[in-house]
Amino acid sequence: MTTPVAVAFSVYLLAMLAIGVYAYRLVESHPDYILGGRKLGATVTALSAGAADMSGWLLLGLPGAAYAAGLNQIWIAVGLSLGAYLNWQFIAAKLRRYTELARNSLTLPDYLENRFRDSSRLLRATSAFVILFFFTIYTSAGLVSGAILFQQSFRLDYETALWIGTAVIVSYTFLGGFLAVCWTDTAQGVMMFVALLAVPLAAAGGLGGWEATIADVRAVDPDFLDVFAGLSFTGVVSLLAWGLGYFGQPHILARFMAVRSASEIPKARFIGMWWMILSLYGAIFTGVAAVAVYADGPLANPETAFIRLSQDLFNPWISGWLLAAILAAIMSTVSAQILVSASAITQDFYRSFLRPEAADKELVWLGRTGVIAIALAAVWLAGNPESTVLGLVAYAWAGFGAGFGPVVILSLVWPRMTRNGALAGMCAGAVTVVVWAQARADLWDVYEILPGFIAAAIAIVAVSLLGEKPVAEIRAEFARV
Amino acid sequence: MEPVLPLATWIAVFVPMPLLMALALLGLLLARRGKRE
Repeated sequence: MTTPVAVAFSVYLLAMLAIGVYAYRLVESHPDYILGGRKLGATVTALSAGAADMSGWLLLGLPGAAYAAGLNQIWIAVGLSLGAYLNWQFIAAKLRRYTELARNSLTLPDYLENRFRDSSRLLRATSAFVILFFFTIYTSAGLVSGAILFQQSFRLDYETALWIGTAVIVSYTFLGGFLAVCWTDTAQGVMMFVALLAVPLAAAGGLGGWEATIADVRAVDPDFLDVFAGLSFTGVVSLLAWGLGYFGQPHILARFMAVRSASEIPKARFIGMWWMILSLYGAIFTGVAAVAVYADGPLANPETAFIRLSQDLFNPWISGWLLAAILAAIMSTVSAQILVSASAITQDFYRSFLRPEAADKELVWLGRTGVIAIALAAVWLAGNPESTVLGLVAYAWAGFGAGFGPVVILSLVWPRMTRNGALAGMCAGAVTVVVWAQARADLWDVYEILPGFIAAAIAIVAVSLLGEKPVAEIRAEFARV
Repeated sequence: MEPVLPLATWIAVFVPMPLLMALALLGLLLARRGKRE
């Protein structure tokens, strides 16, 4: 264990805990615990949406892919940026207004039930189940990558590393709920941003500037500079299609629902998009610069590109913080997902089905218990470092994107949409993703989110038009948004 | 001398994402102006 890394990790972890303790004092009610009382400012909304969205993939996976394949990885960055922009532009403000108007909905299942006045409870139960199922897998993948980072940085055994990482994430989420998660996300987002600018700039500076770096990369392999190298049309479409996932990610949509006012959205969109795009550039250029830096001794594992450059180019007291930024990226996503899952337990199952009369305090403590329960389930799934959950992230992203994306978009823009249409869309999207993922090699080898998204949209429109028009109360509420 | 990056690469890397940043900035400026008025 190196002292500078240990100091950076410890200071960082203590700071996150301090934020959790501070937020604990501000939680007075259940809406405070699961949605921060809807009082986030633009900066916190933007950075917490960004940091909750971007996991360790941004600092490890994407630079690794760019190191292994070059600039053709720009397509996933373009797809994600476009999806995020459209989400901010067309979904954020409307969702904020609609969730408050529709009986002050606190969660996505809550919103769907209230938006369609669904007395059958089917929409709520189905969507809450999908959230719990996919987020437990998703959270578990985050815990595995966090544990591997701890393990490699401190030579701990995997299980100890897993428990340490989980304990810190759970403590601040448990204590401070949504506000703690958003404030820690903001601090974590700043760390990620600084690290992703510092590493490629230092690498390119060391190589003699941008043109010299590109010339060095060309000398290794000119294909690294070709955005179409090794990619078919379907490959490009699949990478771009990642952007469709944004419209259905409950942990990102929750940030939109929690902003102080819809009028904060233009500022939040500006901060969020600049943060995201500069970070994506930083990640890709980190990988590309690593090609030039390690031209004579290629890295055995491409995903270590960011870690190796941090260690080789910086003073250990700085590289400790750069490595802590990886932990920040992982933790910000995991905590956001654990909290949304806990809110599905309290608001969508317990309060809706078991104890509608439950008091605020009871719900807050049940939410805290839920945080621990979800974390334990995720730790159990993450049990060993060879766990297959890491491979399931793309699957969970597609499941949410196709299952909820078209439902959320159309519910905000199409007054004729019905409860049955929403249910059909959710099922069609999720089922298509599951089936396509199994059979895509035999059908069209495209990322399953694309057919899932299209199937869901068609199902919503067809089933809605086949049924009766929504009642006047729903149409009137829609008109007020 | 060879160009630094092939044209298609330069366009894919440096056009769509900066354009989105510009749109986000424009949205902010328009919203600020709307608020003042």
